[in-house]
Amino acid sequence: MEDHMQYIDDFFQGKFSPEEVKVFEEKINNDPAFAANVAFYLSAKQSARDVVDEEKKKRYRELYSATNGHQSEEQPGKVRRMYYASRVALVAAIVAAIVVTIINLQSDSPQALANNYINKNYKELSVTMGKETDMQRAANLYNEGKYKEALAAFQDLIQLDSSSFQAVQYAGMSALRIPDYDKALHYFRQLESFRAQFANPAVLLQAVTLLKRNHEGDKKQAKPLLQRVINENLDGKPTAEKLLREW
Amino acid sequence: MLTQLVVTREQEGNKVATIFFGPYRFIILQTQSQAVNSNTLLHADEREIIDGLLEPGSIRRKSEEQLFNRFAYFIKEGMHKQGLLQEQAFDVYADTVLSAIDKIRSGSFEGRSSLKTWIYQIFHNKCVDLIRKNTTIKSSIHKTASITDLLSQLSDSAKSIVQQLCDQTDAAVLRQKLSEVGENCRQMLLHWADGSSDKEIAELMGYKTADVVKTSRLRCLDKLRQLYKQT
Repeated sequence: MEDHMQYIDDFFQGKFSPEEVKVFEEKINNDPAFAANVAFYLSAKQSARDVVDEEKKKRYRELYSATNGHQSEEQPGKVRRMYYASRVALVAAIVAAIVVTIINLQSDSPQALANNYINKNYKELSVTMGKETDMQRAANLYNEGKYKEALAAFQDLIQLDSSSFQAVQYAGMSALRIPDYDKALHYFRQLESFRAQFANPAVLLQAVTLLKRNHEGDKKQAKPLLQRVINENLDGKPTAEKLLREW
Repeated sequence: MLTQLVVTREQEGNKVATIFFGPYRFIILQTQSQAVNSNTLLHADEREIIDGLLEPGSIRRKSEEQLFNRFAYFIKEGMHKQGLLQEQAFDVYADTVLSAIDKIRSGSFEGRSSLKTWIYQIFHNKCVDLIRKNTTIKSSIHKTASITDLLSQLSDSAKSIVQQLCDQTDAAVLRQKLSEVGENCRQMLLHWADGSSDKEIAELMGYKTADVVKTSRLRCLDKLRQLYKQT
């Protein structure tokens, strides 16, 4: 079967000569099992691509929420002579200074922002549709607010498969909700080793956990982590920027 | 004031002329093998984004985000000019960006217009599609280019057979099985579906060679197939 897959893969990577293409197509026309394998190859790629696109859209949504589109290019305006520009600029600067001062007075603390982040992004754990699995059962416990039971269920899953990114992330999140901050930090540090993940908020989650724990020195430790998220363009960059703005 | 500067150089046997004209950069490429001229009208920073999209890993990811941010004001235009809800306009714009990235990576963006004009055209067409209800958000306006492009490599009769079989596939079950295939396999298949080459996957996931990735990737596909067959 792997040979079939290799043959199909080579075809779609354009490695075949015109004669070989002809043979490949004849095989599709005459061999239903082979045709089914070709269809599976394409369907699998499509399904994986859909997952990738969803993850990217999630990231775009986070970017857009953080900036509300203000980072994007502004439409160039027409050039006009602005005789009163300097006066207008002065008034605008004064108004801006007042607004900034008011906003700063009303701004949330990093702890409050950390709470907002958790509540917004991890209020419920996403569960894949389909036949119920152990992962789904554990996520359901979390979604029902049974965080201790959820943590135990995710820990069982990690014992079965320590390479499960989702189980480690959700175990950390359950611990954070209990709250058992040390355990949460343990899992979020472990999460960082999943380097090939498309979206891995491990570093941001460590910072958020430290901000929530708020022991002596925690805030100091959280800051370089947030800076790292920004510098290395890691998952959660807009949130990290927002947290540092409010520092 | 507009300034004009022409720089000509030889690069891997091809003649490349770069004309800087105000904020624009014209690149005229004369290849030895194909006597084809390719003119591009791109801002220097647009070129930078495009170059970044062709790179692997974090550079690509950063460029994708730069591209998204650059024209994110289209979302508001979609709301005001096309009367879409914010959620709809966001989805259309996100689909536009994904589609544009596909086209840039596959080389089908020729740079005959500015990036902004080209992306706005895609965005506008998707808005019109949505308004005409030819497509819905749920079924996604963005049809991934990969499967359509791949199918186009087949003759009509073979394509029709494979298309029918693809339509019979239970996409929800396949996605469910993708989450059960093991984290390493899942990641490898996601990178593959995202258009990364085996060499790029090897770098991203710490494999020694592209050949090792290929063998592992095909094993993962087979594992996924076995899981799917069990349903």
